[in-house]
Amino acid sequence: MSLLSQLTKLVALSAPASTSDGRGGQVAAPDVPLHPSRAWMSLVPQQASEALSAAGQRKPVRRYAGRMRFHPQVKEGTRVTWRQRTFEVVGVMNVDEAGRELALELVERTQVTGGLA
Amino acid sequence: MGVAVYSETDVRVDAPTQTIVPLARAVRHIKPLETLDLDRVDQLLQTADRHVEEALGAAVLRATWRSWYTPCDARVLRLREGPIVAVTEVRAFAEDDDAGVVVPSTSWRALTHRSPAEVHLRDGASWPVTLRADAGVSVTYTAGAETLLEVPSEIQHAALLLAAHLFEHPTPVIVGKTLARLPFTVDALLAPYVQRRRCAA
Repeated sequence: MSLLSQLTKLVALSAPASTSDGRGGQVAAPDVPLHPSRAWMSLVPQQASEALSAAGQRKPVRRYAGRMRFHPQVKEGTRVTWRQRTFEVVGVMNVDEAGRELALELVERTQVTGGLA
Repeated sequence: MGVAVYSETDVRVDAPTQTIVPLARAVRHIKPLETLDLDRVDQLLQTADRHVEEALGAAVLRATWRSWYTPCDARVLRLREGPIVAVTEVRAFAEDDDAGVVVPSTSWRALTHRSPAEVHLRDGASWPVTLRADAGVSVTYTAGAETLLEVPSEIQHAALLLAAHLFEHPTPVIVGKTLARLPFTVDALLAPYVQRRRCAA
């Protein structure tokens, strides 16, 4: 299947940023848009599971496979926003090392949904 | 009327000021990485235009063309298909003469309403020099649609599909994939508009 036919989602791309908290630490800062900051992508669900945190809370983990045209700034940690949903790139492959297409593994950032009963 | 001949070669002298498919429309279809790939898309649109014009044998977008003829005894020169706006110059070439001489406009008349349009030597006129054996006459003319509204949508879509295909497949070889030619795409869209040269009368 051609890449073009799979590019159905227009997403925003950004990199997480942090800034000094003035006490030797870092605090999260607004994401920095990549350049270009928008791209078309495919997002195909791969796996859904739950992670149990130390506080006994359940957090859903949703993994996706993505494909997009080659973008020189996309790497592990890049944030992908589609509509109101945010994904984090956890794996990047430059398909055939050709500089034309990226195959991505992404994890959707989700909210903690509740504690154990 | 006399014997008519078709051109041996048609050369586009200048480039149209636009492409058959506007860049913005192509971007919506091809979905490139904006800013990074736009030059490549624009270049492929121009490539697609040239291919479409050659496949059709016609001038699609407004540009200046020059056609070359070996008239022999012919007094009628048939121009490239497409809307012909005006014939600007007819030039004749002798052997070893690359500059040629301009044939006075009083010696010929252009019939731009015909399809294909024609240049006729007027009665009593003749080619001004002993023409060289090959490509002894050139005709320069303006041809093609001025706006995209005049270009059939099938031709526009064929150019778009072609540009998208060239963008998706920048190499001439594909390894490890099963390929299939889709029906009703570029060739089918262009087929009704392909100009076939009839026997010269």
